[in-house]
This record gives sequence, C-alpha cells and structure tokens, in this order.
Amino acid sequence: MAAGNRDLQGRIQSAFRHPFLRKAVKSATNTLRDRKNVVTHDLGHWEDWRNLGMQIRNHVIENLDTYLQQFAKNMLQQGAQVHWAVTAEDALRIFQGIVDKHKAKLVLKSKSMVSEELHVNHVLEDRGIHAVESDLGEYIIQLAGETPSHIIVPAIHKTRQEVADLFEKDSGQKQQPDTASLTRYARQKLRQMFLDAPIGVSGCNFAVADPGAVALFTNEGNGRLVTSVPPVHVVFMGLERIVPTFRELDVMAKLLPRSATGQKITSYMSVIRGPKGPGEQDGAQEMHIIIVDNGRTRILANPKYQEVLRCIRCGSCLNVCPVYRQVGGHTYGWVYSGPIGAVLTPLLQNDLINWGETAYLTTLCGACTEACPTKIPLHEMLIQLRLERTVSGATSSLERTAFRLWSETWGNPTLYKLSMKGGYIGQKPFMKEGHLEGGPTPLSAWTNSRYFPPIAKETFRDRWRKGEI
Amino acid sequence: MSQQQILGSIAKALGRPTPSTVTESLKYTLPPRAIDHLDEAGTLEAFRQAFVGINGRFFRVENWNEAVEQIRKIFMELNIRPEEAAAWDVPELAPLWETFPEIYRGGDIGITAGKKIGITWTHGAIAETGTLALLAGPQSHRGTSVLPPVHLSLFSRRELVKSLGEAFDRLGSKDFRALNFITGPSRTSDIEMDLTIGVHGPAVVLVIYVENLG
Ligand code: SF4
Repeated sequence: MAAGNRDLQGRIQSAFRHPFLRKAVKSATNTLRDRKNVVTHDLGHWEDWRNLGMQIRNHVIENLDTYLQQFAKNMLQQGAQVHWAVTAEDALRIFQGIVDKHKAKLVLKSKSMVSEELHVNHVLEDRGIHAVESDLGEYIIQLAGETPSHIIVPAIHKTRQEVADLFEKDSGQKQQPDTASLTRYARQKLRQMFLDAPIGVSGCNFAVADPGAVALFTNEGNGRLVTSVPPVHVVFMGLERIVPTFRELDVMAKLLPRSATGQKITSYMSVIRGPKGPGEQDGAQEMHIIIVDNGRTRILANPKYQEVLRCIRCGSCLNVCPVYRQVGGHTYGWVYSGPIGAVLTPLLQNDLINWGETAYLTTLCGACTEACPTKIPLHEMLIQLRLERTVSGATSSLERTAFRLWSETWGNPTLYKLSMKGGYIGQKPFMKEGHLEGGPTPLSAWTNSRYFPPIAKETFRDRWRKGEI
Repeated sequence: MSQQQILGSIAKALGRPTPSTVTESLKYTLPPRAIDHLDEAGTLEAFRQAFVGINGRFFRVENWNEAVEQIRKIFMELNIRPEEAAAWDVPELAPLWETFPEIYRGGDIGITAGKKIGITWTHGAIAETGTLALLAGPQSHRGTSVLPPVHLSLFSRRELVKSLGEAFDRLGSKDFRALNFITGPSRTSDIEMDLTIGVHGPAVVLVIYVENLG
C-alpha cells in the first residue's frame, strides 16, 4: 500500500524541532475543543446525541451490504455512475479512466481524506495532470509539498508569513502576510481554475442510501463549486460512510460540525443526488461515485476493530489527545493523525510491524474515547494493537526480555521487595536534585528527557505495616 | 466483479452466506431541543437571531412593495446596478422582474460568476441554525447563490421551519438533484485559526423576510 514516513523517532524529533508547530497545534486544538464544549452544551443532551450517533453508525455497519446496494441502485437510477474499488490501485485505475476519457489536464479537488489515502494527486502529477486542492488549508500544504497536520485544519503549522512566501513563489508577485489578502489571492487564483477545470473531485462526508444522495459539509464554498461548476464530478467515498435516510443525516449534521469545528452547522451542506437534471443549466453533466474498500472490509471482519468504522472523521479525538497536542499530525506518518490515525493507520496499511508503533503515540488516558461523537473505544483499540504487535514479535527481544523479567519479579512478593531495596541503593549515583537523571540504557532514554521520581527510602508496604497509612 | 467481491466480503464479515438486501429500519426518538416548543413568531425570531449570529443581515418587510424598496436600498448601499445582478427565474421572484427587468435570469456559469449579487428564493428557512435551504432546478441555478460575492435570498412564512429535520421532511422527497443548505457567508480559519469571511463563496449574505406575499 501507499508510502509514508515509517521512521517514528525521526518524525517525533522533527516535530519537536519545528519552530512553530507545537505552539500552533496547541492553540488550534484548544480553540476547537473549547468551541465544541460551548455548542454541545447549547444543544443540550449531548450524551443522548452521542448515543444516537453510535446507534445509527452501528446499525449501518451491521447492514452495510443492504445500504450500499440501496445507495448504488438509487444513484444509478438518478443518472450517476457507480464504481466499486477493492484496492487503492483499483480506485486509481477507475479514476484514471475517467480523467483519460475527458482528456483532462486539470482536476480541481475539494477536501477528501480518501483521496489522500489513495495518493490521487501523486498519481495524476506523475502523468502530467495538474491536481489542485481548493480548500485553503489543503492548497497551502499542497504548495508546500506536505501532508495535513490536522484532519480539520490541515495547514495549522504554517504561519501567515510562510503562507505569504508560498503564495509569492506561486504567483511570482509580492504578497502581504495578512489573512484577508492571502485568502483573496487564493480565491482569485482558484476561481479561474474552477471555471476552467473539466473535472471536480470531492469526498463524501455521508452517502444517503434512500434516496441516493451524497452529502458534503464545507465552510469555504469550494465543495459547492467543485460539485457544480466543472462538467464532471467524481466522488471518492469510503464504503462505510453511509446513513440510511435523511433522518439519520440530520443526526450526523448535529454531531459532525459540532465535534469538528464547534459550529452548529457548517456554512455549506450540499446534498447531491446525481448529475444535473433535465433543463438544469448548471451542475455536473456526469457524476461518478467511486466506492472504496481499501482494507475497510478487512476491518469489518475483525470484531476487535469493527467499531472504528463508526468514525465520522470529525477530528475531535485529536483535539483532546495529550500526545497529538504535543507532536501534531506529521508524527503519525500518514494521512490520518491523532488517536484515530494511531488506530486506523496500522489497520488500513495492514502492517503492524512497520506501522504498529503509532499505537504507542498515546497516554491511554481515554480522552479520545470520551470526546468521540460515535463513542469509538479508541484507547482500548490502542491497547489491543500493542498487544497484537508484541505477540507478533514486532517488539525487540531486549524489550520483551526486560518486560518478562519485570513481570516475573513484580509478580512475586519477595522478589518485588528485594527489587525495591536493590533499586533504592542502585539509584544513588544517578540522583540529582530529588530526581533521577542519566543512568544506564534503557533507563536513560527516559531520564534524559524527563524527570523520573526516585524510589523512596521507606516503601509503601513498610509504612502500611507500621500503621502510618 | 469488484461489486460482487466487496459485497461478498461484507456479507462474510457480517456472518451471512450472501449479501442481504433488506433490513428493518432503526427506531429511535430524537433528544428534546429548545426549538421544539416555539410558536411561529418565536420561530421567526429564533431564525433571525441565529442568522445574525453567523454574520447574516436580516430584513423584515410587510409585502413585495417593501421588499423591492429594500432591494433598491441594498443595491445603493453596495453600489450595484440591476444589470450587475443575477437572479433565479422562479415565479416566487416575479415581482422583482417588473421593477428590475435588467437583472440576469439565465443560469450561465461564466455570466453569473461576473455578477456582483445573486438573488434566490429560500425553500426552507431553518430557525435552529439560521440556515437557508435551496433546491436546485431548471429555473433555480446553483451558481446564483455561490458565485457572486453577495447572496440575497427571500422567503415568507410558509418557508419557515424549525429544524434541519423538518426541512428534510418537507423537501427531501421532492424531485431534485441538488439541495444546498447555506448558513451565513463562506468562511475559513485555515491560516493561523484566524477567521476570514468570503473564501470561495459570498462574503455577504442577506435575507429579506416578506410577511405577506399578497
Ligand atoms: S474517532 Fe471519533 S472523535 Fe476521532 S475522528 Fe473519528 S469520529 Fe471523530
């Protein structure tokens, strides 16, 4: 499957070296989290809405075959073309066929995580076709040649000045580093492209089975332009993104914008039921829907992870994750970041050895699970992934031996007592100002970067025995 | 075939021999909302508040004569000549043509993109969020509400609904290819989380509520 950067340590180090990233990520996630708290409180009964969200998504997953068939049948009847892609390669081949048929040299995209997952842009660029991201944040990171650092605000690690520099390079003209001017530049530049592009590409926040429809939530309006201005509209849809009817779309519209950006609803929600109808003067003449599996049915077949298919890609779990808030999205190495990325990446890549390390980018505090609007038990899945990775032999033999010894020692009361005594004496050379520093590897990997509290002279068990506690 | 393969994998994962095509629909009730108990006047006021809260400009007029006057004022204020406007060619907006026959009523994208204002009729005004629901059709072009930098929409009491769910109940079964829900101006916070209005869509969104269509 798709490439990515597999060197976790390297990724973490470069996140820490970035001059702006940690500060930016922290303030963005704080803002998003706080806004969410306000709007969910205003709505009231948030827990009931979450339960309903979970129930609906579960129902869809349990009846995925039914709803997908309904959706496909209805969309076909309304004039859309429906394609099914088992693998990323299938999806790209289908898309390439559409691009070739229309001899397109320019493809305009609104945000789609699935198309990022498939690396659609690279494939097009390799064939000399210009694929342009029209979401402002995505446009910025595309010019910078980077991947999103946040699912919802992808260019949050870029300063205004950096954006101005990128736009300057893009236009060959001086750009003012203020948000309004930069936004204006993007509007003008992209507006012409919208009018010129023969193909528009979008993702699919939700597909409605009955009547067939694709629903898109956007704020900038690019989602509306992509789906109605170019003559051809292609939708990349993960096969789990479905709801039965408009009633359930209504519930999702309560959950998604509130959880994602802390809005009651996004500026635009477009419900598209096919190419333009008879007599209509605008709207796409041709609509293609590419239903993508790419590992999703494999996840469906695994009861331990099936629930992750409830995800509505709101990014809420990122905003509350103490690890994500420190390292940002690039550390996760691929397109999905934060707790959802840590779970989804190894599962979609189907590679615990090279990608399973993302399951360690967590404190297991459970804040993600608590934030999730569809109540996915993310932290439990992270533990499960770690377990499977260890059992599969992916961890180093030194680590395994160390943990085996540790569990044997601490599992035995006498050995436990001895180890505490030994530890107390052994730690003395490394004590500095009340905490441990340095020491032999692997201890130093911890103590060199953060405080490690020393073992107390008198243990809890001693004090308990003396009746001090 | 990929379709069979995918549906087969799904059926297998769900423990069935073949893909299923029928299911019981899910039964549930929605949690209560503040909006549920509002009367008509309260609903309109809730719409106004929500709409103004997301940077929309709201006008309330008694009848079409006043509506036309209001539009004239808006044109003056924003320095727009009638020929610089595009509008839907729908019967609901008929009184507009009598006063401003110069307004462009076709749906050509290139022409619409060059206009300064797009004028539409709202099919569902959603009080809960201040949202305008617009059905696309042969006379109600999609571009009118998104291409020009200003969007003006009109509606009357019949169009007023409390919630998105109610709008879906009312409009969802109609024969349409695109239903657009618009909540305030186009916006982004993509650069340093700094809110900016008017990216790809209109920066200014105005609504005129016409009490009596006559
Ligand atoms: S896992 Fe839950 S919180 Fe995280 S992106 Fe998905 S739906 Fe949102």
